[in-house]
Amino acid sequence: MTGPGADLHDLAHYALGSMSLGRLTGVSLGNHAIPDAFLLMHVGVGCKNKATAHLLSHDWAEHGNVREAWTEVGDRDLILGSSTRAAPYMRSWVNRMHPSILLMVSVTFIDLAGEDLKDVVARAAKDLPCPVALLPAPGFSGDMYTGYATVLHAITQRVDWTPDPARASEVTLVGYLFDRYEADHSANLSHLGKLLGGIGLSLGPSPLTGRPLAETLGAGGAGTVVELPYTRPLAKRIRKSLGGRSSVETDLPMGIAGTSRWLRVVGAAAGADASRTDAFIARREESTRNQLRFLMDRWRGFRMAIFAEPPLAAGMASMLAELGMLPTLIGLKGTSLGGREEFLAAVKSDGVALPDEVTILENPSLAAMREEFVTRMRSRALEGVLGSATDLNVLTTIAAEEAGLEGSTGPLLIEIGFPCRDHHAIQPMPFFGYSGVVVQAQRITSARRLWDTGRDPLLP
Amino acid sequence: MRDTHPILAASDEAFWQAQEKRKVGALGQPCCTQSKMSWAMIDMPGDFAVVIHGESDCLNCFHHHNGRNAARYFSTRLTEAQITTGETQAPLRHLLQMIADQLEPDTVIVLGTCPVEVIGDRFEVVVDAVSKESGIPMIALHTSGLKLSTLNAMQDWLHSTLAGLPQLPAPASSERRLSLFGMPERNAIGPRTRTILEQAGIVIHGIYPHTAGLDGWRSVSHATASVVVDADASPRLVEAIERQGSPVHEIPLPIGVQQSVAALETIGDALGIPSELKSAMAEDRADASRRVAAFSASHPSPRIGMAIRMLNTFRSDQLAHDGLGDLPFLLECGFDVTIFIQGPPEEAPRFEETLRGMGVLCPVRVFPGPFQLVEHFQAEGLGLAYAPDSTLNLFRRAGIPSIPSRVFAPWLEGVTHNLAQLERLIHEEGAP
Repeated sequence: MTGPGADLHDLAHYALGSMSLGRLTGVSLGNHAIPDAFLLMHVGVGCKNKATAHLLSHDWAEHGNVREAWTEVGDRDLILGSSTRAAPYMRSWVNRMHPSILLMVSVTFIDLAGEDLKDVVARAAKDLPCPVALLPAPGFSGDMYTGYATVLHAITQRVDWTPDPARASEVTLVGYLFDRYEADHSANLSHLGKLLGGIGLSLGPSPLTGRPLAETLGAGGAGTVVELPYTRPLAKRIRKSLGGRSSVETDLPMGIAGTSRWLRVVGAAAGADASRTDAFIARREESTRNQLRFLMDRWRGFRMAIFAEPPLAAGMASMLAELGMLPTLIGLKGTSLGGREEFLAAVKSDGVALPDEVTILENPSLAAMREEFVTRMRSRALEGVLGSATDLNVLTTIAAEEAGLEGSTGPLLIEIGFPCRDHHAIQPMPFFGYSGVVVQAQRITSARRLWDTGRDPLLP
Repeated sequence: MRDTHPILAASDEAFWQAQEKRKVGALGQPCCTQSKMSWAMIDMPGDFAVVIHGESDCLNCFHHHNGRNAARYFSTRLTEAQITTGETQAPLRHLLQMIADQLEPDTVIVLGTCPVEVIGDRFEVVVDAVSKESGIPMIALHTSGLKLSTLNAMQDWLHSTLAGLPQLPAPASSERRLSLFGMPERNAIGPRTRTILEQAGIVIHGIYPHTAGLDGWRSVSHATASVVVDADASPRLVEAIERQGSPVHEIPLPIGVQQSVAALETIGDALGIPSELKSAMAEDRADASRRVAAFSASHPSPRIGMAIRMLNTFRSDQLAHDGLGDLPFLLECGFDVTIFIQGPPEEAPRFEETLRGMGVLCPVRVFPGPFQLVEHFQAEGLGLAYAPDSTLNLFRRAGIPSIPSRVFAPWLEGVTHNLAQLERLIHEEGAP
């Protein structure tokens, strides 16, 4: 705030951020995570891009645009009343695509007209053979994770959360962020299933994991409900939708300590044999460390930057610290998954000590990130950056001369999170679990550098 | 959109009839001018800032990860209260003043959005005032998605605005300086074409829109002559360039032999050196013509479907000639082309009429959406596809080899590479 009573801020507040993506993008991701859902957007023509622009770059396996449409609202429709357009489009698209569920959104400028779209949609939905969910997606509040959680809530509401689940040893994940059909997410889920198998449990159907709706609606039969951090934007509502079933909240199963902690928490909640769990964890930790041992010394002391939403940033920070690196710059994306406090709590739970000189930026602007990168490179204090394509794009605008690093190879660049432009998984590449540690270590080892001169990066 | 099924209400028929009436025969996709202008400028070199005047989410209708100016994009991030009460001027003024004071850019472009257009915000008043106070050129454009503008109209508006910027002082020069507008983003002028132009005594002044940058737009007037791809689609740009004092000539998108030669001949005429340019390109022209003839002879009339009106893009070469810029090259290579247009099937006669008006005689089919494209290809017995990359997964699954739209390289020097791509397409597994 720069003046009393004025809703005015500093320049960084208005700048494009590391995570500026809003609710509509998140709803689109949620729709994408259900392979037989369809998203009908009662929006303007440009809003369509919020749903697909980054998703099409991110997921090369399945194109999100083929399960989305819009109602072609223009100025004339706003004047005459645009809500009348909704029903014919709903009928036509359902007839054409036969979705398992029709998700719908509207946006601010249409909502300003004050029409009762909710009523129009509800009446039209009565005649449709599939459920319809009209989801809020205002453009002035919330972030991408809020939008994703909105879809998650729409699904958990439809699950029969029986108080007496038939599959006692099964675990369902509520709040998995599934943003593409590439082999990173399929490997994550497959690996978690194997880890659970190692302690006598199994992974059951879970909402928003790239499986058809009917399958994931079977989540209620699982004996244990695990709540991952992506429920946070709507945690109370999602918990309420579980119909009295209890859930166990966890951080993401990332890093060696983080994965072991996750298995212990889930195992305890599901009544798994503790000694079996401990023995399994000990074996897996040892084999993971053995795989990584010969690399550790090469990385020791590398000062790394991580730009991700708080849960993913915490998992990555723990992982890098376990690999001998120093996560010295953290950028936390978004507002709805928590901030500094949640990040630090998750890292602390892994028993990982962050370096004293760590800087944490909350929801940073791209301009602020650029400045931070240049400062650190000038003082030779940045060996690598993990971030989305949006974050890494900022680095590509920095010339070696500006950073005072002429002739240098520059920092390692590793794409993580959403969106990825260059990192695509055609073979199993998890980032969860013990295998995730090994795969991410492999990615760091072979990562590109900002200015690849071909020189030994350790030379001055 | 129409179909027959029990769930379709009878009253829908009237709705769809009315809906179709408002569609015009134009081939272009409708677009949000804010979205596409933002997209077009985010990778433009130069010291400028873009302000999107609206709610936060209006920042999200373009890529954030492909552009050197992403850190210079701002939003007034209007709150619900500011939008509903119309109190939008204070945050805009405040933001523009901070940009002027802290960044001191050469230019600031302020784009409107649907929410501020709906409430009738006359934000140009604030923009003009801060521009005067700061001495920094600031331009207000009432962009939005409300008008359902065509992509060509959007592009013409943006480019004419940039070409109309106050010009940098012109250097004293007697060179024949050429500007090229509407060129592809990649390899717009390759080394061989550059040599041909240099041999004829031509200096390339600027390549627009993707390479020139802000300073290029601020020196439009420095060119001896300007050539514009598909000038008919850019009347405002042509007018702006001419107003800056550079004469304009139209060229086709220089893909393949015929179009490249036509473009080079136009350049030669425009600069008064037709024989020099003919002589400089003679060897390349003969070589490229020979290669095309050999390809054509070894592949008699392969059938290919060309899908258009599917792209929502800001790339000039993709918009040129309504997305048909590669068609003459496919035809000169001997392809038997069927054109598929995304749109209401009931509008097929109007689309066909538009194409015939453009001199395109290929068979025309109209399909409603991407998910139905493959079945239309199969119904026609087509085994090769030219289509946007967002549909390639669909073709792959159907076993139809495809080539993404607008990957052909320009000019005579691109012909060898383009023919190699077509060879690979024809010999790909599954090709007929």
